[in-house]
Amino acid sequence: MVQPSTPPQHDIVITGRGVVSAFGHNISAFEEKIFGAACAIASIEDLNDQLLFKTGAPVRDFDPNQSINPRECRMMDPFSQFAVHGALDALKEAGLSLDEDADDGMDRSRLGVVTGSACGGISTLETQYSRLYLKGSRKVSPMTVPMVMGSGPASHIAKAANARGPVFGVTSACASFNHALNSALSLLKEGAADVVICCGTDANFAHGNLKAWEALHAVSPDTCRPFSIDRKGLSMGEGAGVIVLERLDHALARKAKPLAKVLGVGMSSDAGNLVAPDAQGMYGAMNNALRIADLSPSDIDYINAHGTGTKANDQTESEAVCKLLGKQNDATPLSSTKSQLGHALGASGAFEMLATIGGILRETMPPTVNFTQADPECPVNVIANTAQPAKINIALSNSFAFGGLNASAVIQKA
Amino acid sequence: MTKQMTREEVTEFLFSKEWVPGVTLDESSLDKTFSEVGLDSLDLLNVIVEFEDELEIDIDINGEENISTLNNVIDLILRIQADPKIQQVG
Repeated sequence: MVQPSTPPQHDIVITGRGVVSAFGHNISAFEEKIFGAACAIASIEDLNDQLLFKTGAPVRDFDPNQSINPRECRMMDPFSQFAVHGALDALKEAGLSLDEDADDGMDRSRLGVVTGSACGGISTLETQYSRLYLKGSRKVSPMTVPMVMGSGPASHIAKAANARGPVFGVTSACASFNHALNSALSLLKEGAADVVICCGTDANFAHGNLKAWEALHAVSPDTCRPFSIDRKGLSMGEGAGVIVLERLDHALARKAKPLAKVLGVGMSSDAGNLVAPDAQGMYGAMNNALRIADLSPSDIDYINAHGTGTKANDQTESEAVCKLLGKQNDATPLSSTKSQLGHALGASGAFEMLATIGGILRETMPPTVNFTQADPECPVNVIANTAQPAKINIALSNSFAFGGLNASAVIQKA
Repeated sequence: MTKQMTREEVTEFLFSKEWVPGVTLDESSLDKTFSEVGLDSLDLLNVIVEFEDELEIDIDINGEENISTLNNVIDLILRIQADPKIQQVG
């Protein structure tokens, strides 16, 4: 009789982390700024002076050639460079070697990669189309197709890590990371992989992309103030966040340290307006997350909100959170990492996961910076302006994307 | 009117760029195979696109036999410059 390849223990744990963000290019720099209540949103006029909005949180001072083979690097759009840099750090923390023959307890045919990106390689697309349309070039670079494809980061991480198991990319706008996370969990639970590198990444500061967001009138002219009465919109961010996921028994067998557990991802679709948020859809995702994890609303210690800083999102998310929590609402703290790093689209869920893991490990809840005054339309318990010391056992991390695609992750202390 | 380059100018243009990080091209590279020099097929296509832009010509290496060295590429570019119709289809 054929024995099932997966043991009955299905706890999934995080054993490695990596990041490229406006708060630096490693986890310690990222956490120092997150829990120090810094704000990366600042003038971008040195990068682009043709926008109605003047601020954002771009990645700066990042030299991908320091961590990635320059020959490989030139084949990568920045969204792939961010992802590979983050993945290399995450593998290091997880104690996994890049050497295929290393004695690290990892069968490379059982190592998977799932990446999420909202935009794909738009910087490359813009550069190459500019050659055609502006500079009169006759052809684009032969690297264009492999650099632009949305699954590029997955392939590049797989190559760097010798990952020969399931490798692919997913896309769901601003919820791309949480949907990638759900795919990674499925691979681990169904036994298709022993370890999965999961990443959210986007490089968002191409001129055309910034103009597209400007056209939506969703970008704040100054800064991002989620849930604050004077909020004026989101701020653009970018980067990549990466985690290494594996079954608890696999992690323990190879003596890797579990940093946190991922209990599941609850998902829903608004099946409605593509750009207007829907409280029922948001509530559905959070409620499904609790159902999957077999938890009740009173079990939630902390919520990392989608919290974009737009009037509509924050009001609607507050309505959904209030519906979910009921009387627990006053007691459950909530914060928005986008107040610090802007909205990094496909990477935002990954940043928020990393901030939440940091909060669990440090026993400190991340802050919502730039908060001036509560909004009666947002009756939630906002952690305002400074990180708050508190133990977190169970946390929700929300991502509610344009297109009505909602995904809420449940994370537990390991 | 397309630009014209002499063999020396084509060679100089080839040597003037770092096509691949860590790979330096010089006179000794010209008769080696692309793989011996350190160029893969995409690298070669990148070189071709740059020459196409610079000289405003079309270069189709797929239809050419015996293109295995940089000197072969230089010869082809000079032939197309002399007679752009040699690669026109139909």
